[in-house]
Amino acid sequence: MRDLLKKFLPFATLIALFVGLAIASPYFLTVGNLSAVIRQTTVITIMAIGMTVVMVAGGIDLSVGSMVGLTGVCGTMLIAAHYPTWIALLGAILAGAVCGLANGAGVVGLKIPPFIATLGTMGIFRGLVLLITGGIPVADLTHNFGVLANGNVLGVIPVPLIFLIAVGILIYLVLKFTKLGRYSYAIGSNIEAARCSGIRIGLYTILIYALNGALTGLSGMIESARLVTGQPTAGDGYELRVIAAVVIGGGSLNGGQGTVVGTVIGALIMGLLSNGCNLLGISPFLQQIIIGAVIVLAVSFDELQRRRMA
Amino acid sequence: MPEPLLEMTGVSKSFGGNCVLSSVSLALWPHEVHVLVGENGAGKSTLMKILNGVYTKDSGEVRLGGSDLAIGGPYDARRAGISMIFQEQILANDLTIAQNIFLGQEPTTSSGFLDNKTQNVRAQEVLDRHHFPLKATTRVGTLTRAQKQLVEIARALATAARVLVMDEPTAVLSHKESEELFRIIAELKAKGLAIVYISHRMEELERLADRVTILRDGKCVFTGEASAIDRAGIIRHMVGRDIHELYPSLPEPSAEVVLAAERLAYGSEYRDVSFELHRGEILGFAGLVGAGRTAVAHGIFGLHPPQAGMILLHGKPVRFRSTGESIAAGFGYLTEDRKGNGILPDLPVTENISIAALDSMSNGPVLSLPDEARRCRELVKKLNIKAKSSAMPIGRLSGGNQQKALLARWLFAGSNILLLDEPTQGVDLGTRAEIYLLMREIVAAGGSILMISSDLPELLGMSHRIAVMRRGELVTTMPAAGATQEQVMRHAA
Repeated sequence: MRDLLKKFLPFATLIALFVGLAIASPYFLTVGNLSAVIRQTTVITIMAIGMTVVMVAGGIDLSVGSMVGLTGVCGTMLIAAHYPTWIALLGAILAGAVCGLANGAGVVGLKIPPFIATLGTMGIFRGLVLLITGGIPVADLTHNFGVLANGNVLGVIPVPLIFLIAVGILIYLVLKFTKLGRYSYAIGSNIEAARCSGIRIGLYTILIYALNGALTGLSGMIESARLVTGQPTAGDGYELRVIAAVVIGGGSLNGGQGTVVGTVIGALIMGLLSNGCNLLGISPFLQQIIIGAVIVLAVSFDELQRRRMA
Repeated sequence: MPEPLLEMTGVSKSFGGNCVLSSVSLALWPHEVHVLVGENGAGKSTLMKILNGVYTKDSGEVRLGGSDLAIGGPYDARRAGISMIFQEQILANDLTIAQNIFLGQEPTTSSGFLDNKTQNVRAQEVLDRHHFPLKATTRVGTLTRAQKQLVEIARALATAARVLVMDEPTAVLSHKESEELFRIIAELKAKGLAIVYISHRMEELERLADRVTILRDGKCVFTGEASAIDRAGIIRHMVGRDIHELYPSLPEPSAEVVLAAERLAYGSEYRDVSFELHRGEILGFAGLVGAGRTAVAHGIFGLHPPQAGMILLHGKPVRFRSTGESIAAGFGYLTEDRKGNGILPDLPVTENISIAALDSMSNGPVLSLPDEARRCRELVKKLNIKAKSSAMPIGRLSGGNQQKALLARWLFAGSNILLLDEPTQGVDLGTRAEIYLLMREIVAAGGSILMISSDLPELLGMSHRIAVMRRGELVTTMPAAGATQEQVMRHAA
């Protein structure tokens, strides 16, 4: 019973939020508003799905915000060089995967705690993108690659939603049905026990960070498509919103816990909260307080449950 | 008889609708060792954690020296002179032994600052008084499990004034250290303390108990003088049925040598370790804690490969650089440290069982979950692993069920050379008997077992031969039949 409650509380919160906003604001349920919510939250949500795998495995990646800037610039530079959109997209994903590999290699090879290793690369990646661009955005892009973020399929379905659904399903399957997924939970739950079970911890840790990097690269490209420029400062501070989404969705900083569905719900709760605040004319300052409070409440509820069941 | 020192009456406790204790009463008199027995999950630890303020009771009362005692937390218990040696070690690894001993009640100077000097001196006094070979300024993280247990004991002794609770204190101690503990217990008893002693070991119970209380399924099924009940009676009360023979008779091993170790060595841990393990054999490894037995097992398993020497598997030299390689070659290691490197606490039993052999149920990187569920269900049934639901994380099961699941992990992987490190540590009697039967079945089917154990009756009862290690060296190997505890200890000490 408690397990069920724990499982459905985030979902119930989301529904309550949705219904509440639908009643409180006549604009909420319009196609325009909902598609805006989706466009605004997709980037964070896709990143959070990648972060879920990392956090399930007991890691953390603080460099994802900087990665959004770096991969977005890589992608837009390909656009500026007149490559087709899909090549640019692949380029950004690849750049992200390379960044992720670097994170994984730091954690595994240099045996640095992930928090520190990615705190370092967070600075390195941001510095790198500023160095490449000289701090000037990649702009005047002739290509209409903006469709990646602003386009619609069948007239109403936002393109980023398609990306989100594809990534969500993919990672859901990976976590549930592949060795990579199972090993992620094992490593995050008890790394020494995982080692004694013959799991190649180093290999899988690197793969997990690379996967997270690739998904962040995809997000970086969508983000720059949304702005139709390659902003070297894009994604600043996103890491905290991403981690918050995972945690609200039931992920744990201690590893071993977290699901794709939970994370998506967590990201949507945050997205709806900020959309609702805007619609209801609540000050952006107050918004930050509300979102902060939600994070604390979500985690404390989780802890309370665990203690009661111990 | 005078007033009891401490009286718990009608204590009940439920966790989320699951009744763990129902109206349990316990009275302790000064100058007595009160042994509390019961199978895992019977409620012993819960009762003691209530007494120590770790949990709060739902109903019932606790009276100390004739007056009501409200225990809101561990601090209250400690102030009342009640202290406890917990089963799971709860020490701060980054602090020194002295800092751990005085955690929460640090001596201060007159100006209110911490008085580290006095703290170190007083901690060293406690250690020396009980002949614990430890330095108060050592960081706890560098100690072995057994040494940490000594620190736990020292910590409890430093504060115990009226009641001392020990939850399986000897589980990780060597014979010699246990003897020292028994001497300490006698001393404290003479001083007038009441001691609650939780143990699964019948020998300890018979030796120490003045009075006995037996719990089963959260209820008190017996309480009275130790002289009023015999071993069979205790077992009957505990298990609710008779267990006639704990150690099953073992089939004869074959002459075929499966595993041979030649002059293995690893730093200061062990050197010159040579032995042979036959097909269908259980080779017991005796020795004091710290003699290097676990390190040898880790070496063979590829966790910390030996630096010198040779391992021959079916006559061919092998060198495992990782556990993955040794598992693939048919090895399995049941750890002495379930929490440390055994269970995956967040994962359900099924996933804990299959984790070492996912390759056997996957197509490339893709897992076959129905296959996994089917094979695990068979093992869960066969080993009688009890979990409320198949999705429940293994961390919430009892120690005995966790241990069986870890054994099942190697059965799932099809391991035919099992390295069992303290296989029945912290496991109740019923489960113990089940594990012994399973070990018998494994060797009867042609598997081989290397069993490290600090439980001498178990070594003598469940091995074909016993190898004895002393300070990193394998000093002798003897047939178990006809050997005595004294013989084994003479070589080990």
